Amino acid sequence: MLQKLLIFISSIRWQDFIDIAFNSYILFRLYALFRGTDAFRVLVGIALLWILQRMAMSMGLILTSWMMEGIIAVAALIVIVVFRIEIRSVFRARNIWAILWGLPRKPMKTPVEIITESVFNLAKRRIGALMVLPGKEDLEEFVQQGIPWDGRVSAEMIESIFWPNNPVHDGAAVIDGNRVLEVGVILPLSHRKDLPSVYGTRHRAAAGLSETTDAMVIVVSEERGAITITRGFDVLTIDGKKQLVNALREHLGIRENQSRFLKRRKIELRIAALVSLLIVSGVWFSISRGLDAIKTFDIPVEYANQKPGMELLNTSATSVRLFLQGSRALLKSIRPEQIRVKMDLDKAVAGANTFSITNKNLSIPPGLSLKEVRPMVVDVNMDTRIKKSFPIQADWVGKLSSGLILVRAKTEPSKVELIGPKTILEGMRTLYTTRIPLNSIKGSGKMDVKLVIPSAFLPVLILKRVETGFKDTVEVAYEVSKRK
Amino acid sequence: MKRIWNKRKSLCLFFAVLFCFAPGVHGADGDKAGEGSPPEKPPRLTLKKAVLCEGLKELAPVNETILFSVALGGVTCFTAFDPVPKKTVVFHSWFKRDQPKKKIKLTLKPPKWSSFSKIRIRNMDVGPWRVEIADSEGKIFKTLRFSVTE
Repeated sequence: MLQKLLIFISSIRWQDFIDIAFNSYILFRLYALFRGTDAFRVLVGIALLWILQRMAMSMGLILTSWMMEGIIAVAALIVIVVFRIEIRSVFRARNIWAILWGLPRKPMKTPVEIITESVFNLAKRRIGALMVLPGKEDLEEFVQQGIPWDGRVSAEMIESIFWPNNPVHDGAAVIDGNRVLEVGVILPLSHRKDLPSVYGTRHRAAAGLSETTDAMVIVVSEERGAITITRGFDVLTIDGKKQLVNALREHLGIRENQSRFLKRRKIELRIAALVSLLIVSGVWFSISRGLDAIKTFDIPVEYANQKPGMELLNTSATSVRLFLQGSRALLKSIRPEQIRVKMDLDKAVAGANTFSITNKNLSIPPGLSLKEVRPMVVDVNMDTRIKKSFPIQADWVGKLSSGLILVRAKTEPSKVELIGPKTILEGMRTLYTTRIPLNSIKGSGKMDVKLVIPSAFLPVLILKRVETGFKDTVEVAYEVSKRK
Repeated sequence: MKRIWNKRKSLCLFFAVLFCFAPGVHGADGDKAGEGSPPEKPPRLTLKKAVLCEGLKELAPVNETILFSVALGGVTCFTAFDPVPKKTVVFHSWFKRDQPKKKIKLTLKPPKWSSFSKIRIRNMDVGPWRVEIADSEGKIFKTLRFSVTE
């Protein structure tokens, strides 16, 4: 067992460590950037669906597996469309460093106490007010006609905005962090039937926005001087300052004990990092180290690095069949072009050579191992390279007109020189032209004809032909006379 | 098959011998060739003429060609040597596409000598051929190339 573990550890390459670390970090960053958002929760849901789908597939539940696959595909699209605002808000206004390294945090601390004080002052004076504290969602699509304000939050400023003579006092003020971003904002009205009859337009506007977004809205009633907050579908009447402060802190994510909160957050992030590492390691292991399947590949053998002056004559195998073992998913994704079988001929001598095909000859994607190779050995016949000159002979076919006689024929050039394997070239004495039909010949003339290279030697000779700049067309001049 | 080849070989030799004794084929003044000339260099066997022809008429080649139809029945290789310093032999080696098919031995006698060999051709012989004229040591005087056609 221990030996197996040691073998496994020793088989892990440094590239695998980088692979796991890189993907773990990406997963961790996705968590850090999207945690707490609805998009993240949906993504977790999709991940669970994927796990279920894999389980269904391994159990042979074909229909369930297909259905899950379809749901995942649709859900992935829906996430992008529905949560585009959340996704955009994560990547917007952040530099690349913040995306890669920084942790999400509220850029500015909202002055909860000042807001609470102002709200109660307004209530006391029966001045109606509507304050929006956005959550993580962008409100741009839901509100209208806001006037940019961009002023630092202070009790005086808030009170002056909602002062009855102020032209913008009827609209809502949007407070983000320690700044009043917009005033005179028109909010969407709620169509709920269950709201108390005492609630006027201001309350309906507050409920309308909080129903459609994650914003919290504070309403100060002009008639009753009552303070109400709306968040989601909740409408809560505020009785004391502490209640409002708590509600604001909860909405804004401000903890009383900040250091304890930070400590908890640190632990949470460490756990997230560890979980990311475990998930990615698990996925990596199942993909690259799982040995649950074997697939065969027919791969052409590359012969290379023969000694100078040596020529490859023929081989017993031009391709081999590889039985590769690995995870089903990895094997499914492998294309034959990603696998290479290369035989090094630098040690080959003239004559017959036999080479075993081992792992050294293979280039296979990481995560796969060679189970079997057929054939296990290849025979390679090598030969020394020589140069030889060949006379060219025309190969006439057909019938010449009965009244004519072909006196002589001459080719230009009369000889060609080829470089190639000694065994082949020594057995050859003549190079012939392609067949020249006699039927059409009526008198003396010339024609260009191609040379015939014996098919068995074609690859080698063509190579040499290119090297020597040899053309495979010759001119045949022929002399015809009348039969006496 | 072997018997047919032997028969053919005998026929060729018979023609060759007959041809050698015919008047006019080797001149009566052959012995005079070297008379009066300085004996600096010993004369060497020299091929004066080598042709392929459809046949012989009055012991001279008829219809010199490089193309022989199977219908013709045979191919004749005519060779004339001058001088022939001493009695010797030459060979007519016939090849079809580099494959040896027949080797005919011809005897030459001084002072000059003409001789020929003939092979029969059939449908299976269609293709490019060559005949090599060589001395007893294998030195090739000349290679004649021809085609056998339908």
